[in-house]
Amino acid sequence: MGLQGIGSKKRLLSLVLCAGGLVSGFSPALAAPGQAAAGPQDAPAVDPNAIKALEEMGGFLRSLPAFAITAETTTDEVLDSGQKIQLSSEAELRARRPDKLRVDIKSDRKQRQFFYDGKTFTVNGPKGGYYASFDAPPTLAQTIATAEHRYGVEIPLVDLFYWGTDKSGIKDIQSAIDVGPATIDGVETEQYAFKQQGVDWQVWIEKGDKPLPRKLVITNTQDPTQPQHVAVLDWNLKPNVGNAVFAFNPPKGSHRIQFDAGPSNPGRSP
Amino acid sequence: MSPHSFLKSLAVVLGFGLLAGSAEARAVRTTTRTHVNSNVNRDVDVHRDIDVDVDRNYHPVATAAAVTATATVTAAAIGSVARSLPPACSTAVVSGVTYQNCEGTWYQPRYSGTEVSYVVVNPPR
Repeated sequence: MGLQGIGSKKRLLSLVLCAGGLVSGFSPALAAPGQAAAGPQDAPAVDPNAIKALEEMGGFLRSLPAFAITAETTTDEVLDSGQKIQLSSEAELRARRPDKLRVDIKSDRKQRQFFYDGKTFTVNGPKGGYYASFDAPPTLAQTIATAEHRYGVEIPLVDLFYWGTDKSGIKDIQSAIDVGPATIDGVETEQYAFKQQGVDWQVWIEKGDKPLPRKLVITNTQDPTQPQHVAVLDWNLKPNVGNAVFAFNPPKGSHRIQFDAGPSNPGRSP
Repeated sequence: MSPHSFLKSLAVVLGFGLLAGSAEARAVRTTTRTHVNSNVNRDVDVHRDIDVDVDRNYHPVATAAAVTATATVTAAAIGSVARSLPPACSTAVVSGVTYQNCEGTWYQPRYSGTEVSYVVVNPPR
């Protein structure tokens, strides 16, 4: 009898442990509603499936030897009065790993072209007739970082080059939600929403064996008016990426000028 | 947004408001982030007119507004920086360097990121 008693206690114990394991196994799903109900002061939930989807997308992006994107974008600018102005733009981006990039940006207000042929990075303004170049590092990743940090050249959709690398900001994500299925330009996607310091963002990832970002919305939460950047992406995974696409030949009548790469910034001068 | 960061933004907004004065109805205080992974913060220094980041002679309203702003704001001190040019300028290339000669005031155009700005320089010889 005594032995039986101990045995059943052991069984009970292992049952409890097993149940505990089950509960903790499901804990993200169970914890999420509780935390959401607890109010905005609590640490928000990170859905591991949303993070996994980001990582799979990043891995797929890294696996592409070449790609072309046409992106329709809108970007808010906030006037001193707090009034928001939405500016539209179209960006065509062509990349070939490891060291080729071509970007064509067209808006109602300006046109710019970027050329990176593996040796030189050039910004060209076809309307103004000015271009400027710098000697570029040997890889796309290094060149994009140099363009951004040293020369202040903002590459459209630069996140595409960070996702799936050790420089991606996945560790900065404070909240991650799987919003659910959504269709973008006839393509079935899953919509995810993230929060991190100063920015809320959403990405629509194509379902199936090509997990590409089809839409991106970035909300600046540091400004009370919460301006947004929206990009809808059309992908071509078999683009023409011959060398000529990435070679810059100065148009007739255009002039070479320098980059302002110094610490001074015209925005700060009186 | 925490009360602290709200106060900070408010201070920035008020500060810009004072700098800008009441005439600058077209001045931009914030442009939104276009990326989530890179730590470059472009939100800090955006105090400029909405019309300056525009190809010259390409967008009629913006070009006119930018020229007006330049005429009232720019003192042509050597080393000062303008974000647009006065109306009457001609391109000159001297010793391989590109200048704009605007009725005797010489500007050297340059790219600040993808935006062209103009440094006032001594006349080249």
